[in-house]
Amino acid sequence: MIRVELKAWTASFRFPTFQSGYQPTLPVPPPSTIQGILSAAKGEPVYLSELPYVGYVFKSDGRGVDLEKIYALGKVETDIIKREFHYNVELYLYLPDCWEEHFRRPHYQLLLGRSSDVATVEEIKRIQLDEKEAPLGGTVAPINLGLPGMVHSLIVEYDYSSVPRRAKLVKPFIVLPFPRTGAEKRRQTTKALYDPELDIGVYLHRWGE
Amino acid sequence: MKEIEKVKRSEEYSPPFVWTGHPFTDAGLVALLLLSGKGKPEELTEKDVENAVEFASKLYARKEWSSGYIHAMMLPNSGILMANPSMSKKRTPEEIKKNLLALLSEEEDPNAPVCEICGRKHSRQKPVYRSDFPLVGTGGVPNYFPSGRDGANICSHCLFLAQMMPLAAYRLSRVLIIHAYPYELMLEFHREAINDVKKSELASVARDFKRPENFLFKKLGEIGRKLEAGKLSGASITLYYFVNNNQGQEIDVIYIPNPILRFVALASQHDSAGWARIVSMGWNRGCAKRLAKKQEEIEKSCENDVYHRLLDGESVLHYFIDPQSRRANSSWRLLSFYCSEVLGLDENALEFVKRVADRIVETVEKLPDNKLSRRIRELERAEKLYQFEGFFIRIEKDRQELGIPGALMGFDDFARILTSYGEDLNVSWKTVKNLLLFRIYEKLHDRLMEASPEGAEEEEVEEEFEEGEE
Ligand SMILES: [Zn+2]
Repeated sequence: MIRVELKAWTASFRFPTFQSGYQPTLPVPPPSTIQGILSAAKGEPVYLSELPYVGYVFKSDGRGVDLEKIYALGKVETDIIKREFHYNVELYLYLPDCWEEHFRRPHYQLLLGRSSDVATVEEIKRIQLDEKEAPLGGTVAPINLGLPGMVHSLIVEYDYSSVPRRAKLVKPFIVLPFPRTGAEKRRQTTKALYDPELDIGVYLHRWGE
Repeated sequence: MKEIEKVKRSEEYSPPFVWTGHPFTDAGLVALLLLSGKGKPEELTEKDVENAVEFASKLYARKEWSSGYIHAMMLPNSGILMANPSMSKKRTPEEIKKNLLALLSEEEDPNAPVCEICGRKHSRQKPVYRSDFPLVGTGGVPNYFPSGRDGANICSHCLFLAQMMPLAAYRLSRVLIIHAYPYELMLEFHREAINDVKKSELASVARDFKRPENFLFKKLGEIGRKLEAGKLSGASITLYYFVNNNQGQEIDVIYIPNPILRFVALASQHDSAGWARIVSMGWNRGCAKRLAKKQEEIEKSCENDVYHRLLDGESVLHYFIDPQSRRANSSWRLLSFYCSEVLGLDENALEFVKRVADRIVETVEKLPDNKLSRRIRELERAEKLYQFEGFFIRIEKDRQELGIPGALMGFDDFARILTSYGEDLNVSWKTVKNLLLFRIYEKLHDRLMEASPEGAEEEEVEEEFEEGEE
């Protein structure tokens, strides 16, 4: 398995249906954002349900709110919206070895949300993770894992074979922010693959099964 | 043949409505369930749904609901619920009912994309805008829809559920949805809304609470009192506090961490007086003063620092003690739960601090009243680490003078209490200080109150002099 570390100044992950007026960000990227990043790296649509596994861990230093002027598509009309964003972020992707080449030379720019949220590849590293009791966080997990966290329905992947793209797989998830305190770690602990460097458990999603 | 068809259908049977994880459709489902007296979506019958639609349509056709609530706060210009002002002449319960039921019989187009909310059904052909589904965006600014398409991909069933949401929502200055998991908990939180609607035929105003978090904590206490502790072990609550009208759209997403839920539930079950004292210390003073004549308004309208800190992940430990009246506000049990479950202080550390506190008590209780009061004041007023250190050194001296055998603590313990809790926001020496004070107040409250406060003030001068001489 490899671990790809991405870094960016900002990131924002829209709740799928909140786009009027104020756009809060999800605490961690939804799977569809991961699909976008993998597709950009490879240069063609990638489907998470076709990967043997994929895991991710997201950390941010905090959140802020930005004022953004938007220009309506195809109209002479502007609007101001407030958009919440994360700052100083890291995203770790856990992928099969074959992904190394795509992240060595990504095909398109890697984005953590909007086109202004550009990410760079900091490190690609082969790792082996062992299973143990570990805190999960910075990721989404299936609801039936029984960990407490914000519950929300999210798009896992889009079908890119048509324009506009369409949702292909939608599921409810528990959204688990990266734990900061001992108490948070304890309540997000479950049996998982453990990454000792980040002191975090990694949930490997296998949507193909 | 008929038999086979039946079997086939039952295998394929999937209930018309499911929990999706989306707060708005889940709220609509809550309304359906509560109106039908059912607990699970699969128990809903066609008749239940029709009855609920009939109930909703009668209300939605009224001005208070149509222009005063649905159009004004949730679904501006709604065509389905006919809240669009241009439809006011044609608006009747029958017409609204027809629109709602039509959604349920809308045919699915397998070529359409799947619904972005439930993923089970195909989205409807007509684009969905924020006039039919709150905050989803408008065709006017399609920037945020994939590829600039106009409208969201939402199925007619999810759209139907969103139309039932006004019944279950709480109407504060915005609309409040309490999205809770497990979903049975969500039913508990919204039962009051439906009951209010049945009683008054108006949307629930959440007992006139002005602040969503105050209402939540109030309800959490009430519900927590009835719940078994285990029921909350994996539970989560997120508040969605929004407004969606032609003047503007806003949404706040307020997540309530699980330990906070369990802490408030435990507090209401086992130490409601203590919890009330803690909360009462957090009211915004100016606001509380202004409303002093209307006590019950305070909890509805004023900001509370305890609530804010709990939601922001900041410590509320200092609210467990009342230095003014030198009293511990709650039981040790509640404090201990808060420290271990919310702050994450490990239980050994807590026991260690308790032991040190008990030895301090053992020492200072032998002092005359004046000196006792002064000693504790030194601890209360320690704002810098060296002042905190000084307190221990004086206690050690007191022990020697009083001839109490054994030191207050060894060097390792001393170092541990001063340094090992670091300057972490939640767990620092200030945490230790507050814990010590809690235990001391708990044990010595009566004696500390006997020692006259005027006396203590006078001693102050003398004490500083004493310090200068050392
Ligand atoms: Zn749907």
